[in-house]
Amino acid sequence: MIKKNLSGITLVETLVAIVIGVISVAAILFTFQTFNRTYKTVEARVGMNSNARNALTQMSRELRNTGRIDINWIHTRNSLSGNQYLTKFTSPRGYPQYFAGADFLQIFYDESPTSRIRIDYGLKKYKNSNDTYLARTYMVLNCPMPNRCTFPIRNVDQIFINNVEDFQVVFKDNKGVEVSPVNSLAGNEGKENQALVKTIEIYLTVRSKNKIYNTNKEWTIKNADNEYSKKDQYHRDSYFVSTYPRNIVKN
Amino acid sequence: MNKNTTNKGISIIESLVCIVIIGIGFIGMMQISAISIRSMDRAIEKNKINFLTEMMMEDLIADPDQIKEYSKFNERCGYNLTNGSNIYEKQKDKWRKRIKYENQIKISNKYRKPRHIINCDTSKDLKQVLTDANGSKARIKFLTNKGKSKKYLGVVIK
Repeated sequence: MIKKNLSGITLVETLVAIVIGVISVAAILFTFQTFNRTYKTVEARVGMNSNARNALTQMSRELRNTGRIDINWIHTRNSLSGNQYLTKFTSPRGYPQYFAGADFLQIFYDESPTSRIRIDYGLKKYKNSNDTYLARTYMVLNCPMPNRCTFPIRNVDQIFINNVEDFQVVFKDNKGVEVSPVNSLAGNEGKENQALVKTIEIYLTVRSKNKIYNTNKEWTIKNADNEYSKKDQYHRDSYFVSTYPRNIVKN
Repeated sequence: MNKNTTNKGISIIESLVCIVIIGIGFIGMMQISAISIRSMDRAIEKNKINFLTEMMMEDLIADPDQIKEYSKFNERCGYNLTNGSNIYEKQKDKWRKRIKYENQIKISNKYRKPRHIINCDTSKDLKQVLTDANGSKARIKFLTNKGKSKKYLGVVIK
């Protein structure tokens, strides 16, 4: 009597095992790819959102201070009330270093009797790239003695928010009508108009740093009157804030 | 000849059970991923709602003499514009447009609608301005996500 104990794997079992293995590996790969893609999208969205939130909060705070005049201002000839303390240009007019099409915003306010703050906002291009960022230039005018004022910190350019595609600013009066022009190129009109500003609206469109979609998507973005289109694999989001510049209205 | 054969391979039942267990594991992982994405989405949405409520509050502070007029802002899911000529009507229309994110971003020629518009529930979602009898205090009530997400912001106007 021959007793045969077959403990090996049959051909059918091997084939079944291969099929199961292939299905499992495919499922793992598919899941990994899905996770990876979703993670990239969410990471990009969260990063954009977080940057925009921090920046817009700070920007709102500064816009509320715009036009604050210190009645004890030390400089006898240079009171802020007689100057342009709120400016908006559509770049590149006035400031050619900024990206064309987007707006440029400049604000001034007295921080103390001896110091005045100037802040510029506008889109600039990265070096060796056509991508743009929102630049913030913060300057302090120090006046330790009457009529002796210096800008110790000059043109310290800061990347305020990365990959900003569009930056639009709209000034509105107490009837909800747009106030324009508000800049020094308009002479007295530009100076008088700044006192009419009751609401400052800011529109921002931020783009993800990396491509996150597999296929091209057609984007149409409209911020205030500026409309543009793109077709690519990046993600975009728009942000809007509206601020009441308390100090201008009370001047 | 007596053949005594013992096959110790994996039976089809065992392989199916194995596949089911692995499948349940994958479904679990996908669920965790979906939950985390949903919560991040909600966080982004809440951030935008913060901006919206702050915008409304700033506009209220900017128009202290007509605060009572803003108490008529009581929106659920419609956001129909009134096209009025008064400043408070214009401001309320601006809020409606912003809440809907109207005219902001189109993808493949379709407006991207925010989550609180897509999932709006008329019985539970609400955007409302409440003022006191003197028109000196205002409160913004923002209920989204079928009433589950709540945002209140109040201020003494004058």
